[in-house]
Amino acid sequence: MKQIKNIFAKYIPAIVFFGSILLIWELLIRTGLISFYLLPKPSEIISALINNWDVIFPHVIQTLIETIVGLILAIFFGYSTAILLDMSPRVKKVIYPLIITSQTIPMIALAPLLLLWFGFGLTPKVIIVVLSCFFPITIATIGGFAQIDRDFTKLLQSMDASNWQTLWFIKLPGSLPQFFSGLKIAATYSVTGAIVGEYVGGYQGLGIYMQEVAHSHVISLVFAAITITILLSLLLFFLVMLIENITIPWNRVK
Amino acid sequence: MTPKLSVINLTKTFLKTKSNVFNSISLHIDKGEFVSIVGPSGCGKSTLFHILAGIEEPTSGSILFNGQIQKNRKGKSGYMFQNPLLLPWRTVLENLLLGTDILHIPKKESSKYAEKLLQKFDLSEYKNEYPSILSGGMKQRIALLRTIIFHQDLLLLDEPFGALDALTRLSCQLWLLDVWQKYKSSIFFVTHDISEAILLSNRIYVFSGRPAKIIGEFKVSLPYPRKKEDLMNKKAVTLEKKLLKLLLS
Repeated sequence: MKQIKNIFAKYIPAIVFFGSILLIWELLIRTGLISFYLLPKPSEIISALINNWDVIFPHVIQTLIETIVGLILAIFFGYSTAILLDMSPRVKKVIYPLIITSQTIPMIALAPLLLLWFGFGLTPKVIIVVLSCFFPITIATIGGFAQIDRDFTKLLQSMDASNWQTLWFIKLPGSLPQFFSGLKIAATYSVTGAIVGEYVGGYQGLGIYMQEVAHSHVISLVFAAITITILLSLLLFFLVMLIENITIPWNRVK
Repeated sequence: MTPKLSVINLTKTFLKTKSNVFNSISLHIDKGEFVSIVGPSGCGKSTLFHILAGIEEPTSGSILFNGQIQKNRKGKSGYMFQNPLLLPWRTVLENLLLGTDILHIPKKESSKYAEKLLQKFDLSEYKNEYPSILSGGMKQRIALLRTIIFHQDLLLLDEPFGALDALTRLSCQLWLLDVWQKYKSSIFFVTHDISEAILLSNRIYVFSGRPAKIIGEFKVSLPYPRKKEDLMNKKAVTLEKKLLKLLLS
């Protein structure tokens, strides 16, 4: 509990700063310096969010499901890819350029194609989340494997450990800090990935909702949806940080 | 008596550079004996140890453990590096269990043994600490105990105290002698510190620079248990002079 408190204490300056921006924003519109047609007041966004919560909520759940399923699959694929590339330099030579190339494909062009291939359901959204999240996880984990002192591997060799034991006893725990920094980046990408997937077509989700309210020119609700997106991303980010803190106790000892 | 470890005509050539690391080396360590190699740095002592530990293969020659030729030497000795290599994510006790974990020995059994060992050497208070808070000397002690738990018969110690300050090193050296007396292990020890070799060993091999050969073999006829003052003993001083002369020639 104390650690969680400490984490939040660290962010007090950021929260104060963000709060003052909101305050200035509110004042700018209240004084009429910016027209409320162009930009809604923060207070208006919040009340719009509360008043429409029963409509927004199912969309949030849909997006959250896509995000979490995608993120979990991305962790699985990202980590296995990292292990595979680390185990065989030859495979690395073939696969690594391919992985980098996969990141140069514009998601916005890919999304309609996925829709065509996999329909309007969950699958195309999850694929986009996986595609945008596995890369930072793979790259960070490979980096983590590479920075492990090679003498550790030699020590385990001298103890006649198998490759799997070396992976389990040395590489896996040794690369955890890097893996988590990759996962934090991935977590912040994930929600946006799901929304891009929904944007091109679907039945439910924040992306769909954003389009609907934008078409009906209800700006305060567009902002409400954006706010939810930010909150979801932050929530995932902090969740990852919390898990990191629990799984890497040795980093806390200084 | 068959020696614990014998090396016969061992040669190692690096294929890429076609340079000999060492040439036709023969040596032996008897059961319960403490034998050191001294030599200039880069003379291939570590390569020799890698070969003995089974991490590398020799170009030619043979290695015998207890009189038997050993092709697969991995896991047949306790190898300790200059770097203590304690896993930062394991506590002291869990670090001691690394070797037994690899051998799939049940935790219940092995941790009981490890705890007893910590008690024996007055280190119990550290058992649940992570290595990052330990001093350099303490890390080496834990690393040595880990090596002993894994394999107490034959220990290969590659400059284990090379990175420690003089005082810590001395206390670690005397501690090692204590451990050795208790376990009757056969110890093969690499150092470039002549007085360390004299203080610890029964016998000392002197290696030349690359390509390394054995240029001398000396018995240290000081009785155990030894103390730091034994180094002022006339025999020790004469031996030190001899070794120094040989290494500098």
